[in-house]
Formats: sequence, structure tokens, C-alpha cells
Amino acid sequence: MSQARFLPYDAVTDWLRKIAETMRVTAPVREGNSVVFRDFDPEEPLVLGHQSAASPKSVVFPQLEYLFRYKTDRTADENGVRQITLEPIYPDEDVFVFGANPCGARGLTTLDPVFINDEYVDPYYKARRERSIIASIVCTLPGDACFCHWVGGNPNDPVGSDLVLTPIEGGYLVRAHSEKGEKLAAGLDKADAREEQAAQQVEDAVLATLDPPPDLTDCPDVMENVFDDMELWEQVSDKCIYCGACTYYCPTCYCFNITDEASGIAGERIRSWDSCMFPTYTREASGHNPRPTKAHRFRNRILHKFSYYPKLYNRVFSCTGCGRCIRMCPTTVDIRDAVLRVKEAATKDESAKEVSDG
Amino acid sequence: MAELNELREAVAKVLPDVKHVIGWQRGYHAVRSSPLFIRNQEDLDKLIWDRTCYQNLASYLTSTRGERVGIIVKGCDSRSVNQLLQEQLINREDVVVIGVPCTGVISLDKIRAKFPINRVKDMQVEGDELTIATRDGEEHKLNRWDVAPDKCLACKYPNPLIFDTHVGEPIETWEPKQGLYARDEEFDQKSLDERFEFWRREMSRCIRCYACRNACPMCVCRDHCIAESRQPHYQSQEADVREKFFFQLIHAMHLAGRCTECGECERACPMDIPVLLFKTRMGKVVKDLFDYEAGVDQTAVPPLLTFQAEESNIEEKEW
Ligand code: SF4
Ligand code: SF4
Ligand code: SF4
Ligand code: SF4
Repeated sequence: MSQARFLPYDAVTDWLRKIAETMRVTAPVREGNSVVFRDFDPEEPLVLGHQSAASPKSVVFPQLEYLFRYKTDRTADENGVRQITLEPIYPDEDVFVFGANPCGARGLTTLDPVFINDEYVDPYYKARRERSIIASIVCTLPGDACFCHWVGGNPNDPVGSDLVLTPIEGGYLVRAHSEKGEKLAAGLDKADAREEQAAQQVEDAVLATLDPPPDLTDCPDVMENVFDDMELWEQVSDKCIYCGACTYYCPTCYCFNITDEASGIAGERIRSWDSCMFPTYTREASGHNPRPTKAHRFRNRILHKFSYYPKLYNRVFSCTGCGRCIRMCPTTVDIRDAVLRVKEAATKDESAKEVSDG
Repeated sequence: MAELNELREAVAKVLPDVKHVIGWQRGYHAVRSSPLFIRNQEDLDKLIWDRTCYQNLASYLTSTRGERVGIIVKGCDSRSVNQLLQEQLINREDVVVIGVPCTGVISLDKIRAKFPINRVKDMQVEGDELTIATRDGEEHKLNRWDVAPDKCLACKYPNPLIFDTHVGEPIETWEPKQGLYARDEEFDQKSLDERFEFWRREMSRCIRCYACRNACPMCVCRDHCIAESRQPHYQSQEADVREKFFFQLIHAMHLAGRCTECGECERACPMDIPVLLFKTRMGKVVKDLFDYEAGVDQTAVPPLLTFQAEESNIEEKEW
């Protein structure tokens, strides 16, 4: 690993101010009772070390994205065909995300294989991803709804972060995990052995506070056993009011809608977030909806994160255990309960099958 | 407050006749509750009744329409049940209402404004005092009136207005600590520019998740909401302040004279946006013009669902 650096707390603002001269810097601030990412303003106090309300996902996958502008000619040619002019709109800025949580940063890596793979590359996503640099801060205060260590993460997980900052006395120990991060941190003073040791202690201390996680490794293999058990799905989703908050705040949810927002003969084609919890999510043009009730849609959310996705992409869950869906849910639906209940029912089914097969 | 045991007994009595009874259970920490759908004894053991039972469970009634269900309501929640009945959005014979008098709940948002309520060990309640102990070894002592939702400060109906079973003795209505429209009146003191700036800032945080809409017991077109309709194309999918503001105004207008001021919309908002302000404003207008309060009288017809050639409080002509 490359040389660790040290960023004193009282130098953070100046450091960001300098970076902000060359790119957009976004960092968490308080608004109302919420911690939200906003464009860096040296006058506004940063709220670091707390989980932001929404994850930093929107930096690479914004809630609203203009794909292109279009315009139709007023007059048709001799064949009655009208000319349409398209003007693509590509992301054109570098963004530095300062002060994400490791679970938020890790979320970005679960979006990657979806938007950038062998068969298809989404140019919008790719451009944003390449042009963003993420600095996360080791989480020293895992909350009651957090469970990153159930799903492969941990409070100092560097996955998805270009820089990881560990809070120690007087400042942050800064470690680079990519070339982009390396370059950004290059101007900072080198850390000494004592500082590195202090950071190690902080990280070990947080890990020691975590309860042993349940084993979820077989989820992708067993959970679909109960796909048709609608009674189970109704019960695990009964309190859900299908608002979609869980998916909008989730760092790994990536479903989108594409609509043309026209005014007259011109308009934009936009991509905006969709949610599997919405009734319109899979409603077909005929009116038929293969996921007619919230139980069907809730099933999709759970199985997608803990079965379909890991089966497709290296057995990684599309959930980083950030707990946002639990905290933000107006009815406190707890995805941990849902997963454990479904897994339990599914393995019961499995053993029942084995018995009858035997 | 009525005893939990009595409430459990009442639910047990109703249970054989319904699909489930909706109540509250402990959420993932001591200050969080979560709705509970009681189907059997095991579920019933989880039932709680305390100041954390803040959610208005009437929001579930329209989606269980056609099935006979039981529901536990506080005084304020009972207004929503009434209003749903008034508008024939639910059938009286489909709901068994278990009413409990309530001395007030607490607001997570108001507690959150005092400290990040994210690592809770437990909560103790003694009279008006709440002590919340965190896992970090801190103890926060709070007076419950300081962290009561505005609706409790202004509560006029602590006793259920409609019920099939009543649990506990009716309680004496307390002197409201402030009028329901206090925040509205304060907001009114600001200039138009200030008010617009306020909403511009607040709405910029909104992420169009629609928790406010779906939590609302009276917001019943959910599956066919104008916010998502493509044909007609009322609203764009854009995520700018204009669209979000537009949505809130539509919600408020659709709720004028129907909103039971339960505060669920604001409670549900994950971004802590004071969207109840829109509705209390409409509530005030409706009260002034029609002398009507939603959900108070089961037999009344909501003013915007009826028509009178001459409204007594609206001066249409100049003579
Ligand atoms: S946030 Fe909660 S209520 Fe809303 S859709 Fe998600 S699970 Fe359902
Ligand atoms: S599913 Fe919930 S806990 Fe998992 S990443 Fe999404 S918001 Fe976080
Ligand atoms: S608009 Fe808000 S306060 Fe009014 S009934 Fe709906 S949720 Fe309750
Ligand atoms: S709940 Fe809050 S964030 Fe969600 S749509 Fe309503 S106002 Fe916006």
C-alpha cells in the first residue's frame, strides 16, 4: 500500500477549497434535521462522521438525468417525414465526494457491473463514474439499523473509495486506494508510524463493537424456494406502504424510468429513478401487471438484492447494510427481519424437500 | 393511559372475527415503534401501547378494503377513520375499531433535533419525563411536551370519536398547549419572498419518494397518482423544486376539507420537510369558510364534496 497521509482537522476546509478550484466538491452539511450532500461552501460547517440521509449514489446515477434534447422540424419533407434533431447531453464535470460513509461508497461498486459490462456500456454512467473521486470516512458510530458486516462490508471497508480517512487525534489518517485518490492526496503531509498505529486502533475498536453476523452466504441458493409462497410475502410486507423511500435512499438501487418530457415540438428525453415498490413499476401497456400487489413488489426487492443480483454478479449482495431503508422507512420495515424470515422459511422448505425426496 | 393488558384482551376478543388487527410493536430500538399486524397469540404478545405509538394506522384501511380487519386507534387517528367512512372509502362493517384514549405521543423528528437518535440502549418514562440512554453511555432527559408532535400540543380529541370497543376510561381533554395553526400563523408573519425562499430550500431536499403521499390515510389514488401518470401528462418526472412544489400543492388541494391533520405526511418524510404546513393552511381556510373540521362528525358531508348555491361564509357578490 502506498504511503499514508495526514490531514489535520483544521486544514480540511483549505484543502477542499483548493480542490474546489479544479472540480466540483460535494460534502455533507446539515439542513433541517437531515444531513445532505451539497456543493462545498467554505462558510458552511461540514457534518462529518455521520451517515448522510441519501447516499452519494446520485453523483454517478442522478435522480434526474437529461439524455438528449430533441427537436422536430415544423414541416414534413415530400414523403411526409419530419426531421428530428437529437443533441446528446453528456456529463462534463469532475466531482469530488468528500465525507461519504464506507457503506455509501461501496454501493457504487454494486452499480458498476449493471451499467458497465461485456454486452453493454452506459456512456452516461461510465462518464460520471470515471469523473468522480470518493473519499469516505471510517465509520466509528455504527447505528442501530446498520448491518454492513452481515453483507460483506465493515466500518472501514475501502471498497468503492478512492481515499479512506480514519479519524484520529488532531486529524485524519488518509489512505489512498486508487490512482485518482493517490493523486489527490499527494499534496498532504506524510503520516508517521504513530499516526498509522492510532488509525489501526480506531479501526480495530469499531470492529470489536459489532455483534457476530448471521450467515447469509446461502441466501442466493435457497431464497427462491419460497418465490411462490405469497402468504409469506404478504406477511413480511404487511406494514409497507409502498412509498419507495427505501429504494430512493438505498445506495445500491438503480432502477430507472425513461420518459420524454416534451413541450410542443421539442423536449428532452430524461432518465429518472424508478422504484420496484411503485404500482406502475412493471405495469405493461396492456394494463397487465405481473407484480400487482405490494407483496409481489416487496418480494422483488428482497430477492433482487439477496438472490438474483448475487447470482448474476459474483455472489455479492446488492445491499451494503447501510440501514437507510430501515431508518428512512415511515413504517420501520426492517430488511434484516425480512431477509432472515425468508431465509428461514426457504431453508425449512429445503429440509422438507430433502425429507420427502429421501 | 389504558393498560396494555386490557388492550391485549380487547384485541384477543376481536381476533377470531377478523383477518388481522393492526396495532403497534417495538421497532429496532426503544424509541421506535412499527405497525404490527396481529394474526395470532404470538403476534399479540408483541403488542405495545406507549408514547412511541405515533403512527396513524388508519392509512392501512383503504388497502385492506373488502376484508374485515381490526384496528387500534387513538383519538386523533379516529378522525381519519371517520373521514374515510364519510367519504365511503371504507365500509363500516369491514372495520372493528378498538379505541384507546391517548395522552400524547412523541415525535422522532423533534428528538432528532436534540441529538442523533441512532444508538439507543433504552428509554424510561416517568410521568412527563423521558430518559433515553444511548449505547455511548449518555443519558438524555427530555420533557415529553418538548418532543411532542404539534398535533399533540394542539390536541382537542384525545378520546376516540368512533369505536366498537373502548379500552380504559375516557380521559379529560387537556388544555391545548398551542393552537393547531400556531406554526401556520407564525409562517404568515414572513414576507412573500421569505416564504418562497423557505419552500425553495425545503423542497430542494425532497427526493420525490412519496412517503408523504403514501403515509396519508386520505390519499387514496396512490396507484393512479397524477405524479406518475403519463397520460394525461400532468407532471414531468423531473426532480426540480418546481415539480416537487407542484406535487405538494396538488396534495394539499386534494386534501382540503378532507385532511384530518394527523401529521402522518410530515412524520413520514425522511427529509424532515414540514409538509404539514401546506395542509394546516388549507385546514384553516376550510374551518374559516365552512366551519368544518374533517373527521369529527361521522354523518357530516365534507364541504368540498357538496354544493350550495350560496355559501354562508363566502361573499360572492358585492351587494
Ligand atoms: S420505505 Fe418502507 S413503507 Fe416505503 S416502500 Fe420501502 S419498505 Fe415500504
Ligand atoms: S437495502 Fe437497505 S441496508 Fe441495504 S444498501 Fe439498500 S438501503 Fe442500505
Ligand atoms: S395530509 Fe397529512 S395531516 Fe392530512 S390526513 Fe394526510 S397525512 Fe394526515
Ligand atoms: S416524503 Fe418528503 S422527500 Fe419524500 S416526496 Fe414527500 S416531501 Fe419529498
